[in-house]
Amino acid sequence: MILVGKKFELILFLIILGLIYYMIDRARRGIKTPKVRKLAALQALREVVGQAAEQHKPIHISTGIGGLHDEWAPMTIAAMAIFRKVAEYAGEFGVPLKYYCIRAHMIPAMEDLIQAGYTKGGRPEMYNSDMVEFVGDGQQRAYMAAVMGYISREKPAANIMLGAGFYETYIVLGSGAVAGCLQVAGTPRLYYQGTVVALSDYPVIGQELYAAAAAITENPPDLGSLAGQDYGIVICSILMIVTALLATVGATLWSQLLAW
Amino acid sequence: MSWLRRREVCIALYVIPVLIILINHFTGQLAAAQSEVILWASTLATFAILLGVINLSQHHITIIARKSKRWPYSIILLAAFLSTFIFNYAYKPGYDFVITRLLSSLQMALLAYVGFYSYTVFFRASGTKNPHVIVLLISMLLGLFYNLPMRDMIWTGWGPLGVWVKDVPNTGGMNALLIGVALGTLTLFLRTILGYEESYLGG
Repeated sequence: MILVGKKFELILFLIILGLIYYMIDRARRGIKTPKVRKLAALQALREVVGQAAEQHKPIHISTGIGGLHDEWAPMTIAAMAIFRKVAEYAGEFGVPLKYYCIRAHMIPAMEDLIQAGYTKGGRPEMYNSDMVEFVGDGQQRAYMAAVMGYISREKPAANIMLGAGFYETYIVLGSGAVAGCLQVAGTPRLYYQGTVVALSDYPVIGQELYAAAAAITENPPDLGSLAGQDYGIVICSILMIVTALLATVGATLWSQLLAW
Repeated sequence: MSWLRRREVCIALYVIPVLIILINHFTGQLAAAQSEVILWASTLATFAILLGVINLSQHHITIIARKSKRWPYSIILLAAFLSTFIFNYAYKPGYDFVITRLLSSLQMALLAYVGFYSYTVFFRASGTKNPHVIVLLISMLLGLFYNLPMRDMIWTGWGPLGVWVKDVPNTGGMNALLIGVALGTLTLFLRTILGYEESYLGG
């Protein structure tokens, strides 16, 4: 039934999934809510929106080229969870948001998300449909031109780019740096970690984006999921040490498990 | 039809395709269903483009109607959009001209910006107070020297040092990051199917 070479992978997958579920359940029932270390980028979000309000300038938000239809969807979903909070702060402080949409299916989701944020923040009248602007489905260059033009012209107070960034990351963060925007950026995509760290004031490195998406809600089940994730890291670390030792002594157990 | 907007229906629409793809990954038994699901996704994405066309047209028609700032550019955009659309269906040579002579050149010009910004990352990084950047700068310098054609004329050690950085700390760091990202994705998946993560449903 299970494909050859997939059995061990499936067992590991189920163990980690079970562990995360167990921790979510424990937190949900109030048995133990883990404490999450403060992420600088998350703590800065409110301050960033507040500064934009003081300067009477908008905030540009970006989820990168990833959408909800591809393998980058988890990154986009994590980014949307954070932007939901940003929209709420924007409603609270009365700051306009701007989102350039590179995936047509993201239009209703982002419109709804921003509108709900303004409503929750107490200023539903501030939302207008111009805040979400479509630039061409998957047209990365059109997106880059639109964002670069907007940032150069309007000089937003802050530029927040979270999600699956590709090489538009250089343009979005590069033009933000030139315009002097306060930048919060993060992508779990490996190739852009250096760019994100170098160009943003508050970088979100690697899986911190997922952690931030869970921590921002401060709901016990979300925090519990982070504890489960940490136990997954412990399991992976133990496996790495054991396999390194096995490989050193010339044992073939690991390769046999992978081929099982 | 209000039941269609129920939260449970939306979550089910997310979970069912995910489970089909996941089960097929481990068993290989649902290959046909997986292809179908992926095809549906492409079809839905194609229909979603209509949303984009409506959004784009509404936005720019409003700008023109209100004579807002830079309104002539909206006329150019709408004219370009309509002419490309019409050429594609009615006059192929015109469409080819737009793509090869106009669009390609503009896209290449934009790519030059990517080059410019990626080169300036180094200079911007040197002005940042973030301690992580020091590691980045050192590795960038090592990478730079490793790729120099005349590196051995400067110092013969650049080659082995560059290879070591590439194979040991870089691969190790990337793999560690990849494990973290994979676990993060798994956690998000579980939170989504349990209904704790709803941001993808909008407000």
